[in-house]
Amino acid sequence: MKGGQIVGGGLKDIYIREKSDSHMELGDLLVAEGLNQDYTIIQVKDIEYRSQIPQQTLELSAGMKLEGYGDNLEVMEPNLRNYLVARAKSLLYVQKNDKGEYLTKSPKRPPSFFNDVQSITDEHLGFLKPDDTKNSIYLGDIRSGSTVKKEVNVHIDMIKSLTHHIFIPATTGRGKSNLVRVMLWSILDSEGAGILVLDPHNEYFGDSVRKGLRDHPKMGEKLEYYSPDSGNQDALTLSINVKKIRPHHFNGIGGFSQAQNEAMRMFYNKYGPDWIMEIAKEKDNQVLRPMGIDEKTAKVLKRKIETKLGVSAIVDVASLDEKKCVFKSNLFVGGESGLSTINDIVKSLEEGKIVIIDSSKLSDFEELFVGSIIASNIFNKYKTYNSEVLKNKPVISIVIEEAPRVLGRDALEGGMGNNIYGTIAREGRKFKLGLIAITQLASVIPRAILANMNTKIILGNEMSMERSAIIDSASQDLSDDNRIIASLDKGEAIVSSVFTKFAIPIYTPEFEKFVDEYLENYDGGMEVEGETELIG
Amino acid sequence: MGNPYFNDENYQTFPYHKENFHQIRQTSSDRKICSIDGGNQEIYPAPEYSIQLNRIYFNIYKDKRPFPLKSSIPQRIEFLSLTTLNRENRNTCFETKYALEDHNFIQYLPSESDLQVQAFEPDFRLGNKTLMERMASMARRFAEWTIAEHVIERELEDGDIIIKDGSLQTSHRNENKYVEKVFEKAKKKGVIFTGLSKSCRLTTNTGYSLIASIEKFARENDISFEEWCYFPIARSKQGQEHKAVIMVVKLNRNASTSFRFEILKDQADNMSKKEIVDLISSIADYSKDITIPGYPYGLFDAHVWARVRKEDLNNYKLILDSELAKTEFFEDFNARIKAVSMHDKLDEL
Repeated sequence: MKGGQIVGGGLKDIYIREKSDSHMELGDLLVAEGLNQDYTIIQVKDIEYRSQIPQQTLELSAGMKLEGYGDNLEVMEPNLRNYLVARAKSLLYVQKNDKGEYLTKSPKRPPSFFNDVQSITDEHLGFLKPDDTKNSIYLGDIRSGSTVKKEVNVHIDMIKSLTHHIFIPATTGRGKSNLVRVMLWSILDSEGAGILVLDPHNEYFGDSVRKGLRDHPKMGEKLEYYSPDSGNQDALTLSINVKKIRPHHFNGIGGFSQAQNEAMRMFYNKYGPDWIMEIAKEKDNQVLRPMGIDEKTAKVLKRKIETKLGVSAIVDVASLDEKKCVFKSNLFVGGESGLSTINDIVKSLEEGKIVIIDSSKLSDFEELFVGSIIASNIFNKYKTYNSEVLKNKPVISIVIEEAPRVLGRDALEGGMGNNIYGTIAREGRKFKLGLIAITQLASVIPRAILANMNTKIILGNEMSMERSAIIDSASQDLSDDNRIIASLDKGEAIVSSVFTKFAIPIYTPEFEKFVDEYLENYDGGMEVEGETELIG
Repeated sequence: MGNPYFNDENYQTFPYHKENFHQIRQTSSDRKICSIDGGNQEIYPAPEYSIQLNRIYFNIYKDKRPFPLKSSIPQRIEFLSLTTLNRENRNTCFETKYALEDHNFIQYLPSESDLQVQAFEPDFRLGNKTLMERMASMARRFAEWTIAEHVIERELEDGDIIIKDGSLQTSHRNENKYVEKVFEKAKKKGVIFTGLSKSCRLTTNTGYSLIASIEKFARENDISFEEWCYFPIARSKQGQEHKAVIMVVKLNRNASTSFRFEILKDQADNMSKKEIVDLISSIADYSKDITIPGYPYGLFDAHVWARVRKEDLNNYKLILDSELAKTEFFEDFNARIKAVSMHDKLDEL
């Protein structure tokens, strides 16, 4: 049991002398009990050495010991005179009434001076206990410092959190993918959410060696997996007929200039679904001029279509006057194949399924473009639903890694125009659409977009600038959490959300172990052990 | 350098002899060691009275750790005292009254009637200020003895040690009464009563500092002990005012100085050299703290808790001012204070 006594400070900074055997840690949750069934939850933000022995004496004494003069010297009552003082902050004031109901408030005054403090217990967190954890996302277990309270699971409300976007900033190796896998696993247990996962490392579905979402008992009914690799036996083939591509799918993606964008629209207006193939066939000025397209623009466009989509045209030997299209990529195809892929994916998402797109073999552009096609289709579809229909539709969220590619300042403000991901970030909430954006670089995402990400699951980050960007846009005041964020170990995170009373420290279990435990307890429905905390 | 010298026939002194150096041994004993110290400071000065804040503190250690008290004796007693100078006819009398925040403290303090003393012509040679300071500190001095008596009675056992800050000498007429009682109790229970002086003004017959002369003597005679005690230096004979065997101790090799140390004479006389060395070795075991090597940690701790700092007085000044301001005496009180308080005012500017 950790313990200490308040010896100074104020509402913002409470100074606690640590009891000698307490071993307080950065981020520890402590409780200062009041007299009327009330208590204040406080969190350790920093810890420093203090001594009743003057600094000069300490230094001299250390010198004597180091230089060999210090025999027959000691520190009497070391626990009393040398100690640690923790700087802590009040997070939440909680009062329990006679009926056992909790009333929570932002702390308006510090706990009593000289008050004892102790480790938080499960009972102290009882105010978070929900009536029902159905349709929630499991994030991990509550953590005090590095002590994980396995009995207190942390869930977030699935619908609210997904429509208000989830942002996951962290550097490599801090457990981002593990967290997302655990989250997706628990979404498979819920109803009412479709998730599109653009998976650049092909790590979510799993295979015979690594566990993944395919191990979930409901995978058959709720999980779909697409891969452009036709040799992947587990996956549906991801191929998109170019006839399904529309000019607006390129918005903000692919580096097309305004003139090129306009030219694409003109081609589409004239040729309809065949517009890409017509660009590839290279029109002469006679055709281009009436459309108001410059010949040079058309040539550049043709080259870009060829390099980005792999669509080119060659002379048709059967009819020398005509050209026919050649499709070099397995992803963007012609003829009759791939015509239903996008519709199938959209349909699955609307049915509340998780759709994983293995983009490990796709280029950056291809991955984002496929996502853009799907996201645009969903957005336009959901936008047309009236409110009654929309109410019964599942929320749809898109998991996007390295989010600055589409949400970064360069992507959104660099002259390419807005893209569908930025549109969803800004407007998606109205149409039950959201993003789960993952990144190492929060600082390059505009503040307005970050502010729209109403749930942030902050993992460890050594980069000071990144921490500042995260802290500045958090839903709670995390100005004192700089050190804490830097010191988060793998799997440790802080959940800061508009739906939580305070920033909740969590630990996300290792996916493999989590799955083993889950499957061990699985009896046809979600088995949750211990208390469960629903935030939001 | 000379030899130990006491300007009083009530002391038997012993010339320096290298055989009188005894090596302190590394030892750890299960004796309890009690240290006691007191402090006082004047809150308000005036020519004819003095209001003092007094503190007495004691601690008990065993096995190098604070030993929990068995009884309800408060470890720290704090009280205010008012010492007044009364002149009637040709008699000049000093009286002291207590003001106690906790009335239970009264049982641990000397009787107010014993703090009533008549001043005689030689006393006035000290000067008004020094005389008032001397009289005003009586309450604290006497209380150190009364509390020591309670501690011996209720907390200590045969073989335990009590170390009082300072010498075992008395300096007030009524003080002997209390000293006698506490010494009797110590002897009866077998608690060794000792005193260790932070500073020593004793000299040799050539006017050399006694402490410095012994350290010099040790060097000149190649005394190789890193920690030692030197005795006997002097022992009191018949007088009531001082019943002690006086020695000098160097309790740690890293100590910057050695200290005057005394053992209650009746007890020291019945102890062998080895027993005395054992006793001092036990105290030396508590004198290794890095803060002040060579000074018993218990006494250091007692000093810290008993001292009265200037800033401690401010709170009391505020309370006293606000209470007195409600009374008819305030104007008169204020006028008297002003007679001597200009020094403090100037210090504040």
